[in-house]
Amino acid sequence: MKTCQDTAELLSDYLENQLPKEDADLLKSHISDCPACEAFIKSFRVASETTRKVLLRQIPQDFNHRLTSFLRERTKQG
Amino acid sequence: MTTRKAAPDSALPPALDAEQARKRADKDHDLGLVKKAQAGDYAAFEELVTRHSGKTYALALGMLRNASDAEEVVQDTFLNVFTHLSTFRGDSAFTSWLYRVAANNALMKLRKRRREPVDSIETMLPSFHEDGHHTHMPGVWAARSADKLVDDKELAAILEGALGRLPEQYRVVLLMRDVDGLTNEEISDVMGLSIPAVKSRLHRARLAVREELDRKYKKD
Ligand SMILES: [Zn+2]
Repeated sequence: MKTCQDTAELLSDYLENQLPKEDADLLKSHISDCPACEAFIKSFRVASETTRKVLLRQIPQDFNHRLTSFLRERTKQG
Repeated sequence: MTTRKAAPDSALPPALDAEQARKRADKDHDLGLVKKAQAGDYAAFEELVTRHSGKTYALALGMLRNASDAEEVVQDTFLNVFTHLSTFRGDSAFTSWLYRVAANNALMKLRKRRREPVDSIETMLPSFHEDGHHTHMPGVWAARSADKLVDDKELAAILEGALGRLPEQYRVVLLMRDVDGLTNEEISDVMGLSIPAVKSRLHRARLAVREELDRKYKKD
């Protein structure tokens, strides 16, 4: 028997296939009967994907150009 | 004793062979560029910069949440790399070295600031009924795709606030894994942490960010 709390605690390992089969099977059977866990897992994944996207989209368009110019000047190249 | 690994239906795509092959090729390409740069080829150094500047910036920005501070950290990081290029032996990936320097520079900058209020991670984690059941369903945001959510300014602001409230040792692990795409093993190498410590910090940081979104994002 696994609870919602067990599921939440083991979620990263579960999603990355790092759990022993016995534990993964117990979680899987809990989740298939638990809409709250199913929704929680979805929200957990979407939160981490959104974190990535929110940060990567803030890289300024001309950032690499500015950086390479700065480095050329400071390293006395070009 | 061998443990069999299960593949749950809802699992993230397993580390595919193709993905691993791509990572391997990227690492080898970096090491080739480092060797050329060490021999004085500036164009090779510049290619290293261009290959990694974006993700280094994202790491610094996530740590500092200030664009000009993040830019400064990236500048310093690549200057450090340039200066110490000859000391790099190639025993581990170039990116492990790069992210170690970047994380240290970002942490140093954080420490120079007036101390920001940081929460204890425990207050940011979900709570459960005594029998271990969830107390509520996640809000409607959770049913949306990341592509939709990323366009929502309110949600992006909550997310950045959540990163800022994470203790920095959790924040840096989350960013390296979920933004820069390092593996747990790479992060353990970069940060000098055991793998269980990396996994525990990463997981709690993910739970905390999810929880913050759920507590604070109220829009339907
Ligand atoms: Zn449940």
